[in-house]
Amino acid sequence: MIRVFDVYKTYDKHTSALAALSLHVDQGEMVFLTGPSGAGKTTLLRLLYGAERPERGQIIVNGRNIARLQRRHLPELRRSLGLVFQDFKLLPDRTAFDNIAFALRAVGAPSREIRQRVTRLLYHVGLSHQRDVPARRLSGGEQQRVAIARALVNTPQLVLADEPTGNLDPEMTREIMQLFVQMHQHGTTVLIATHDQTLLSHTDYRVLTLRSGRLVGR
Amino acid sequence: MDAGRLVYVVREVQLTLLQHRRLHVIAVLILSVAVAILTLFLLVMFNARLVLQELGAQAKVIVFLDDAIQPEQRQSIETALNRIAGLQAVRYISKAQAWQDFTSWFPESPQLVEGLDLNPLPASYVVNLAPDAQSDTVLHTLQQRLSRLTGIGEVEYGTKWRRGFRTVLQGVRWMSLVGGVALGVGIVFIMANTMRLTLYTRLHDIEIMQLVGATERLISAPFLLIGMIQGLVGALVGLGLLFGLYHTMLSALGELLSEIIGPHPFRFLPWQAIGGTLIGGLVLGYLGSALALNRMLRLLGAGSMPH
Repeated sequence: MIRVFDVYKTYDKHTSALAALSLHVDQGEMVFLTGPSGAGKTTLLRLLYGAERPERGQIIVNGRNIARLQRRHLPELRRSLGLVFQDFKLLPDRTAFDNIAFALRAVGAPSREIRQRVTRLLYHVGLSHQRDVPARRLSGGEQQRVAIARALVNTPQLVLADEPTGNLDPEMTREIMQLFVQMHQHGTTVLIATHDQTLLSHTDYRVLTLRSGRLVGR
Repeated sequence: MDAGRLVYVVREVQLTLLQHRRLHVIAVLILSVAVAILTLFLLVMFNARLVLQELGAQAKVIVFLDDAIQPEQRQSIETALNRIAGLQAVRYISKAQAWQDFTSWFPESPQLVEGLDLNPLPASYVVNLAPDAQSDTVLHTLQQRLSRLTGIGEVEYGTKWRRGFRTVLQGVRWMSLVGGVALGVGIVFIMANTMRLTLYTRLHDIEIMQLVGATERLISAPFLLIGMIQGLVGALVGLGLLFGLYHTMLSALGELLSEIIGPHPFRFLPWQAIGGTLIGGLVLGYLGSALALNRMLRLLGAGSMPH
């Protein structure tokens, strides 16, 4: 699903974010990516969804070579991925329903299909009762559940999550992690970047550790 | 574009226009003033041409004859005049007739002309030509040719005022062209800046759209459409302003103009110019938005994927 070969990424010509990084995540696997702040977790995720380009090395995601991907093919890649962020990246003035539907409208899905799929996902993440509430009026945990529903709305093969529980309390963190486990059990490949050690201490999933842009543990 | 995407674009256009209505209204007003100024030049040029045509239709060539002209010479001049291409009418005015016409100009003060014992006015032919035979070149050639005939004193066809009017018209045309280009660039600049402000407020939305896999074409579509709507509405309002100004000026100055140049032929812009202005507004609005979008998408895409 993900193959990273000898990848280098630097910022401002001198700051090395990733160096000689090689790793893999197999299809259907759920993997944690950890390391201290500035270790390169976010940079790696940004490379995986095509927001950055490596200076050297190759990155294969869903059979596509991201390092050579042309800008016009970027939307295709993004539609095959589900992305979840620490700051949720929701449209605050739009309802929970509209935030999820937005991803489907952006790819031109018909209205009927949008209604059916969004309603099903809202039920799945336990937010049917909040469907018409603007995102800004939802709690952090609810906002992240909306973001997860949006990530899943295009039934992606791979979900990339960057510190998805970073803004949540332990109770909400448990609920959100449960959703990731459920999507993994349904066959989705999941890569979660986190520096929350309490989250990792209870997990049986594989953990990749980055330090100063290099893989130091797997 | 399929129905789903079309619905998306229409919703985004509605939302953006409503959210930033004040900004868009201001942009449309500025645009409409620019369009009104631009079309004012067009209107002046269009009407100056009508005046020129009108005066041209009244223009005539006057062939003054020598007092000592012989009947056979007059006959050959008349034959030559009747062979002129584009001739509409030839009228002979004798010396006596010319004097009678002259004295009729002073019905209130007959003493002005009563004392004169001799008639200083020459006999003449008044030649009316078809409009397409009234170009300066044709008239000049005609004058040269007629002046060579024996018995002709002078040939007049009003060259000076024609040239003067044409020079003014040419000046207005150049001013319109330069002003038009400057205003066109200005309009694109206004549209681009308005769109840039709108895009800044929607950066978060655009980023999310990119993340969920929307194509640049879909991301751009609502903003391009907004630019076109602004351009069209601005052009319409601008034409409305011009129409109002035209009627106000006509009712204020119509009588005065009629006294100077006779029954005036003034008209509002022809439908081709109105259509062209509306299409121009549409195109300039599109260009302004495209310019802003191009810069914004490059900015957002910087450091991500190569083009």
